Amino acid sequence: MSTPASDGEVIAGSVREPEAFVAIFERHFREIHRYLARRVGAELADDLAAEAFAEAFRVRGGYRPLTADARPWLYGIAANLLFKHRRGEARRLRALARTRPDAAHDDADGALDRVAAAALAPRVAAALRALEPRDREVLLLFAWAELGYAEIAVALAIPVGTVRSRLNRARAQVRRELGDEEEPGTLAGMSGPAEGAARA
Amino acid sequence: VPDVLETVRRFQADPPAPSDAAVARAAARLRAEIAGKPPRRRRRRRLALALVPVALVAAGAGYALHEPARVDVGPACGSEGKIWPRGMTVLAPDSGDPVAACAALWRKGEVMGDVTRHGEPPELTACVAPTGAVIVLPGGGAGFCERAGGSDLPPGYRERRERFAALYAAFRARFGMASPTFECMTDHASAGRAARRILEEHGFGDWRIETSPEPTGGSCAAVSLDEPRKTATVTVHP
Repeated sequence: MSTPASDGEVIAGSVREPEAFVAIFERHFREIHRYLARRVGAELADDLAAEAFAEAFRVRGGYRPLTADARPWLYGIAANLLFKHRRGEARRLRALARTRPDAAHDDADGALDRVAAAALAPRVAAALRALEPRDREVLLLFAWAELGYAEIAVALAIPVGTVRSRLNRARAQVRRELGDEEEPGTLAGMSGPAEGAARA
Repeated sequence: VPDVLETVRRFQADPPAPSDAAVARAAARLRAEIAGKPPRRRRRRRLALALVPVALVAAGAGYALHEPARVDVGPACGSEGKIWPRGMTVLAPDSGDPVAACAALWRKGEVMGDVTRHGEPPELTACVAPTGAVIVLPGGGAGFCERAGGSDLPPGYRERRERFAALYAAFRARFGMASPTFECMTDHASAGRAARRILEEHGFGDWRIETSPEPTGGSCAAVSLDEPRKTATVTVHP
């Protein structure tokens, strides 16, 4: 059985055989779209994700695979596009921050976490909006895209140490916005009695 | 203390998946690009490298803010004569002289931002941002960098850049999968030995090597270079 080509091999091969790049789209489009949809909403994510892969194809000759898969590179392109839409993202977060929690509608079985998440969502939105864009980018690449420090460093072309410092700063700021006020019954407290007790 | 990361992870956790129609449109867009027939609305501005604007400006933050003499080595080209330009293109550390490299991008109209014209570049000057990043900006003359919000390049920058560029190129040749001399190493020990050898061969014997628990997402070792911290981080998929 042959081993599937790595992303790096596919991209390198696509320089001579452009059609090969479709494999990168098939492997990663939905993941990149999901990240973009969380950042800017599904409608704009449709456009940005399409643009991200078109852009990736155009610049594939400059791909430098310091990581084994192309996700950090693709997230870097997506982040670049998001930067141009940062005002739209800020507006979206502002709107979410003004949304009144409406947990009453979320009454399905096992919905405790979702209820808690809905209750906390406006404050999380406000906290994310208050972050410096570069700190928010690192935090969300870590929390939502699940990239590691080294991968974020590749995606954003910054040193790993800078990733760490930005992530620490972002976490501290979000904690200040949320943590000091959180009581059992919020997202963290609702996740289980033991956590609530531990926090008390 | 609440788990901040978990709280953030749960926020907007279930975005709608792209519709089949959206996937089809995106695939068609890519195929048009592959066929050399991009849609008419394609922007004239292009990314020379797929990197985030302002990311490099902030590179070294946390170090440079306390030690302003430090200068990061990977330069960027800015689209306007201020240290926080609307658009930037980040160059690889081994791109050669920053001003010459940025001039080449200006000629091709590939400096991000509001640059749409092609042709001879304006006068370009390399400045240092307060964070320590080097940015080549349009403009010049006495005191230009200071007026732009930065400072002039420190003495010795060129030599330092050239040394680091050679190191970066050596790592890319060994660890970059597009390189003909790429060697896939699957454990920290062998990757660390290779990294140490490269560092010493290029006169960077005082650098530290760290291993990262974060997976690369694949099977081969990856290395990231943190010049301000003099650290090479080796990452291997568990």
